[in-house]
Amino acid sequence: MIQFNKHTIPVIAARLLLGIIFIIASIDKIVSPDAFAASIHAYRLTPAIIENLLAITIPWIELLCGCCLVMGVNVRASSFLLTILLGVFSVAISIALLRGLTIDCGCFGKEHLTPVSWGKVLEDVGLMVAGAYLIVVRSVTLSGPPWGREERA
Amino acid sequence: MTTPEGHTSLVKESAKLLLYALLCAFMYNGFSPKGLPLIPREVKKESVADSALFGGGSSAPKNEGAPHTPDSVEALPPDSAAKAVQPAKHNETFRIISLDQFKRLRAQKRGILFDARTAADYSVSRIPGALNIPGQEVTDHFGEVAELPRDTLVIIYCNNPDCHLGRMLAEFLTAIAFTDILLYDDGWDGWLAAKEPIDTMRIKK
Repeated sequence: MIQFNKHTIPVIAARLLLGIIFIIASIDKIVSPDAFAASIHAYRLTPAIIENLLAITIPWIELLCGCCLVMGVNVRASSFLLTILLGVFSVAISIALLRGLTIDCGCFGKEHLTPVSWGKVLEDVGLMVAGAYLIVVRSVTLSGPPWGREERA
Repeated sequence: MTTPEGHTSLVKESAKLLLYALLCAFMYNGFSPKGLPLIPREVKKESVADSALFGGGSSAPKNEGAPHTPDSVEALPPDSAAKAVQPAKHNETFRIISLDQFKRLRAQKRGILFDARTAADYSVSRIPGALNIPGQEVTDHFGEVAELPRDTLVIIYCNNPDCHLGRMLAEFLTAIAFTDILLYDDGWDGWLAAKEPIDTMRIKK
């Protein structure tokens, strides 16, 4: 039975926002991992030896967590992982900007090239707030049972 | 609301989710034809000596003459047809030419010039006479390169020595049996820095 309270609407909105954005962001990176590896390389932050490992794994974390958020499965854990990822992204973009690199941010894959900018950092921080909210509120409203039944907002 | 047990379950759940994601990622990467090697292979580059490019007297360069155009199609000899498609060669050594060598080849009108940068970059400005074959969309341009004789001298440029698009294109051309591929490694940035002429006529799609 669905129990509505003041968190119901914001929680669903935050879940769909984060979930859909990350699903969209992951698809193109999964389709062209080589392009994503090149984007990671362009940041010049990571040792070359782990660039491919990051390019292989990050999109799948995004996709799986995004799907979980949309379906309402493992909401807190997904938000937790995505918030960490967003934190890493905003730090990476900030460092690139401070170093004066004009590179593609690699956010949505090679089909939607967008240069790094402080606006991107702001976007990421905004999404982090949504993620943190989902972790704190622990709502499972409109989640698919039988997952996480013991947690109620 | 935030009990210690709550924290451990969050971390445990996250670790589980992460594990699933990694499992999917590596399985997909293993089966995907576009899968990446887990550890990036080293890029091997070697400079080409002037004598190899311009001939040391007696040994005449085999690609002398007018640049091949798509009109001058030569059928492959039947015995080489079987070898026409080879598996992509990894650990390929890329043959690098300098600006001087590149300019000399251009002056002699030898070879065909491919721009491996993105279509967006190419549409704004390019080295005069270059054909755009973006390194990431090589298969979309297969028709443009397929009809060229495989011993055509191909010169590729990209943005700079870090640019992987030029190497992707070179690997693709090697895989479809082109034998004479040169990479102008300083690429577009080097060309601009040397203040060489560029073609800035906008190309609209």
